[in-house]
Amino acid sequence: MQNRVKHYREGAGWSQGELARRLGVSRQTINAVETDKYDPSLPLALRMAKLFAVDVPDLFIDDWTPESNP
Amino acid sequence: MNPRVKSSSHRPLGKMLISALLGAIAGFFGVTLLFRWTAAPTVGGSAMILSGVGVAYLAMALFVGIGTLMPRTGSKVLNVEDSDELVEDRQSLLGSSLANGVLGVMMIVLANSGTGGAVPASVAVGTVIAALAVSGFLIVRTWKYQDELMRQVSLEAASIAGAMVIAILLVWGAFSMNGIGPAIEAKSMIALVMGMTLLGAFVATGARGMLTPR
Repeated sequence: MQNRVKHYREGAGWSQGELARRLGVSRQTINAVETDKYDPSLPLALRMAKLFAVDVPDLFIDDWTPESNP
Repeated sequence: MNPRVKSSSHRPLGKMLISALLGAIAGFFGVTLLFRWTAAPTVGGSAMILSGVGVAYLAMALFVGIGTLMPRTGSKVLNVEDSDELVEDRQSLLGSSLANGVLGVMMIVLANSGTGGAVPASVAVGTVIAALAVSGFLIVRTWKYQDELMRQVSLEAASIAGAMVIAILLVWGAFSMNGIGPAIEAKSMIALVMGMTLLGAFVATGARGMLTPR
């Protein structure tokens, strides 16, 4: 899943280490999320959105659209 | 670019080559010295394989352990962004490297026990019980220092290792019981389970692209 974590992190002026510290995860996790190697858990995604003061769909981009009703 | 955001200036390819070279040298000398100093080659082929897997665990434990204790040096050979990352993950890395080291020693001791081996049965069994207790304690203690990514990778690694062990044992067992292949020996079995556990970890991290040099 594509995401804009790096965009918001750099906008806040934080290094990966700083964001990891604020979220209580390892720097490797932040790196893996930013490079689309790992989709974070729902609690971590919510914390990220809260930290950047955005909604989760602004942070994580999902192309899926529901089928229209017949 | 925001000046507060660090940029990476190291060369990941060079680091990967240094790591591969050091791993090859450590593995070669480890196995050579082990076969010279222990009775594993005279015990049989399965003992040599078990020793080899034990050396792989020990080498990995040494690299990660020493690298974590000496972060500046460790960051030059381990797949991390910089030395700070080794400091941040110190508890988790030290715990897992110690556990791997204990398991490596256990396998080498086991390889040298049994018929024709130099290690008495009581020492071999005692070593396994002690190694299980120590590594079990370390793994449980380390678990709380791991974040969700490492826990997920650990579960995936265990799942992959389990699948590979099942597949190999089924085929090997079918061949063996029908007289087509060699009998399943205890040492081969332990080497298979421990070897696949290690391989499973590499496959799980590699599948997530986490072996890409950083």
